[in-house]
Amino acid sequence: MSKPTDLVQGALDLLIMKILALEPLPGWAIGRRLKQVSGDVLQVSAGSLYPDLHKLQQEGWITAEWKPSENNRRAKLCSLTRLGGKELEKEAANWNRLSAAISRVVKLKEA
Amino acid sequence: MRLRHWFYTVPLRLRSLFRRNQVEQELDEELRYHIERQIEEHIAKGMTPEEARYAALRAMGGVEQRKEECRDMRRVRLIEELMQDVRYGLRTLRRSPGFTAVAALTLALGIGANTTMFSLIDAVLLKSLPVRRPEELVSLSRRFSYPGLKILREYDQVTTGLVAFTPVRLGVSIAGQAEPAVLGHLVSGAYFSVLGVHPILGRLLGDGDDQTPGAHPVAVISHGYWRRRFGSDPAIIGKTISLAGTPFTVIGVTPPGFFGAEVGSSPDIFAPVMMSPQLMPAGGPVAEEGPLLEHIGYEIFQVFGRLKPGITEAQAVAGLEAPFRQIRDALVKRYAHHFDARVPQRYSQEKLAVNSFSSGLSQVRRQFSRPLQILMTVVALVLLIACANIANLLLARASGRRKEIALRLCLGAGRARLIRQLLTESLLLAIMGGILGLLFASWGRHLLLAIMSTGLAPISLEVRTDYRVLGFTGSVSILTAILFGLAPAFRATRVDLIPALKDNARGFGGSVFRMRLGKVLVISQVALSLILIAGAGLFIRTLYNLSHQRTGFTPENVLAVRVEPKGSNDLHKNVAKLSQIYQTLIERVSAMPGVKSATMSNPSPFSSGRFNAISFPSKLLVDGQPSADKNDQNPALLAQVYPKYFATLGISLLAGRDIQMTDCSRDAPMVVVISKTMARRLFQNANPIGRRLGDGRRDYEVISVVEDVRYDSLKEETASVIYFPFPNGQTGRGQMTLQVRTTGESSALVSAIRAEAQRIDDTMAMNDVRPLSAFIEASIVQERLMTALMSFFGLLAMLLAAIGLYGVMANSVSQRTHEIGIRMALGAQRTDVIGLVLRETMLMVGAGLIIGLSAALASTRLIASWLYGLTPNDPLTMALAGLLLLTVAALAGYLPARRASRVDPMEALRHE
Repeated sequence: MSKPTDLVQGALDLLIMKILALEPLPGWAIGRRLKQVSGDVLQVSAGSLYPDLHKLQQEGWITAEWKPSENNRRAKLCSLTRLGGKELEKEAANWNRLSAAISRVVKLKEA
Repeated sequence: MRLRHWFYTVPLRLRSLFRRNQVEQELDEELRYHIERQIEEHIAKGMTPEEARYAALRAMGGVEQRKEECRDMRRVRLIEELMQDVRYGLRTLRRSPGFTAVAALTLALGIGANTTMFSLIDAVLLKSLPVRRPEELVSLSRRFSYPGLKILREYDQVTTGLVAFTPVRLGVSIAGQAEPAVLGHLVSGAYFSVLGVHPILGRLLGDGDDQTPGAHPVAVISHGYWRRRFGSDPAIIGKTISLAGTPFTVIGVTPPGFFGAEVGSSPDIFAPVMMSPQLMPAGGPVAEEGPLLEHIGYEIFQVFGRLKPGITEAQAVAGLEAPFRQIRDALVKRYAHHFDARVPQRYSQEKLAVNSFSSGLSQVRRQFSRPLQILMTVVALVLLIACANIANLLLARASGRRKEIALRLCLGAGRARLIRQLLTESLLLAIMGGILGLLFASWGRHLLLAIMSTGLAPISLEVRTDYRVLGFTGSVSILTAILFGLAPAFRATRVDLIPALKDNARGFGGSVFRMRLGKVLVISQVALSLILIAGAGLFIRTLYNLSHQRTGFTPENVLAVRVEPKGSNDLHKNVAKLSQIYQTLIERVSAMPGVKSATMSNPSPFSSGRFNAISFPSKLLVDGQPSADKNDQNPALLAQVYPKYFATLGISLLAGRDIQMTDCSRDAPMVVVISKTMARRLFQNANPIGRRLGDGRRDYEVISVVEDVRYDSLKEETASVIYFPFPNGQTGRGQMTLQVRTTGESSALVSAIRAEAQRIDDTMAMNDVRPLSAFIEASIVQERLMTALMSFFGLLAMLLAAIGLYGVMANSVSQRTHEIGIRMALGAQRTDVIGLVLRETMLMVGAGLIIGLSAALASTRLIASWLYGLTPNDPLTMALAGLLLLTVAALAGYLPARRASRVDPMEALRHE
């Protein structure tokens, strides 16, 4: 199982916040959605996802509320806060800069 | 941004802390939801429910671990654990209330003593004056006369204006009724504006109130006096009160908390410097030489000012150098023909310095800063001893908790975590001690101020539990917790797990170390308390020597009253009227029932009244010839007395006749009485009666010789005194003291004497009404303070050391029950066992005594200046201190020793 967090520090934060920016989701669905939109390339284990969700929540970037779900169950629905939106913009810009830089280095022609 | 972040996150942290149950339940539910959805998904893919469940759980990788990781993300781990520790610590302490009470009380005594000392030191030595920007204030290092002040002001470019003040005791009468005398300050017009103080009622003095000598009878009163004497009556403004016989108009009231520029004294009245001629007790030669405020040598004013921005103290000295030199030259010139050639020379060598005035001036500081510093050291030592004690108690406790600690370590608790837990317990104890200590300190402070105030000048200090004191107490508490808690915590958590968990094993290795640490602590306790006991002993013996010192007079049943009739500041002009008043007063008081005799004198013993003196006795003429006495180090003191002075005070008349009322006139033949030492200096062994004594201007017949008397201090050499019948010589305002010898209790007579005085002259003020013995008591207030406190702390230290010793030995005995059982089974007698334990005790005590004795011998020099009649290393005191400590220690060691001797060998062996 690949662990995105191992690749780039902070990438998981960025991915989660981006997904929640589209629509509020419970933790379980975030993992599913990530897998789906990345074409099965990115997978996040429960062991990484939940601590990270709690971290984002403690930073005040996402907030959670309990909503009724199917089969009489309650689901904890996470959504992005305004503060989180700003953080997402910053992180996304960072990521673009970083990935572009990495790409430039990787594409260097060998002499 | 940072702040906004906090705005969001702080409520989240608080929720994590205080809604912990809910947060936990939600975490549980969240993860369960995930797993259930995962299971459903797996089932949908065709797994059996069993397989699906297993796969889901495996993917999660341990629900509890995940939870723990999520909890870590809450960022409140540390606080959560701290709260856990606090809760657990409180529970543990509650479970052993005896230990907790002893430890908290010990700490409270130590911390309380330190807080008391600190709050006094803070008030006396450290705190700034309660005025605007005190750090800008500077004072000049010497006093100046009013002409001197004028010269300084003329040249001054470095301050925003120099102002002067001088303290004076003022007799007050209101509406024709004499009142208790109060302390006044004569101040420059700009005094209040330089300090930046504003009135709460009326107005304060201004430059306009300080222009012409004698022309500004206005006064400002203190908030305290306004409240105390006038019941905070706002109509006080414009009222007239009489100060030293001159009517003054009250123009304003100072704000509460303002006590002038002198810490420790709080003047009730502020009057302009220009009123000095009316208010100052001018006596001595100065009064004969023209108006006070024009006399360059009448240097009574303390001068201070506020530095201009950017001016340093060094620049200020440089800037004031020129006027200072001018003043110095004027003084040298003025005294060029002084009969003592050293006077002009001394003036010419004077230097000027500029000092920070931010914490004002203080007599109290001069008098008590050394005692307070020494006592601060003493209480710090007491706290150290207390810490050693509690460390010992904790060590003993740790051995009782070894199983519990070992168990926790086995279950995976980190050692650091356990140390933190134990330190939290120590901190809880220290906090309890600190809170109790604050309580003790507020009592101690009152007690201490009461002892300090038994001096002649009342001491009024603003001592409160403010944030500085709280800060001090808090820091001391935390420091002590670390001091006494750290070593035992480290020690307790280094446990050999296997033997510790076994029921009876003693874990010998750890035990030996623990015992060693405990012994070191006890040895240092014994050493420290020996220093304190020895110090206390030196003070006790000093006080004994002082109170048995012969003074040359009998103070018991003598009442002293300083009287101040109007016009007493000008004896020459009013000599007839004053003689009349004094004689009448003496006659009427002598006739009162219960009075044996009454007289008057200046000065009165121990009343801190100043002698007039001939500082150059070699200039005295004996029978017209220069005196044989060339000892100019010892001045000849001049006193004025009325008949029966020697009888009333109990001073023995060695030869000749007493002074008669007929001698008390400027027209009578001039006679003097001399003291024994004076007679020996002037006449060696010859009979002085009938010989003549002269100062070049006048000539006196010696009519008698009296016993030597100590006039100022119990420690000083006896003075050489020449006594004149009253109107001969000099007195200033209110310097005559009435002395009354009574047949019994003297205080009952006070009101009768007061009434009689009013009948003779209703403006006559009476000050300092006290038994003569109270003046002697007041002269040794420092020694009494030090003796009382050193004894208290010395005994406290000894008690703590004894408790510590007992604790260590008791613990040692209970650990060695098995060994003692074997010894007894092998034939050891009870006395052998007692000897065994006592030997161990005495070894510790002996080591402590040796260390303590060498430290005491080295350190008692610090208090040498207070000691009287013995050296700082007085062998008897040292021996007694050591013996006392040895006895107490032997007792503390005997109790566990006796218990050891009662060990039943069968019992002890079976126990194993």
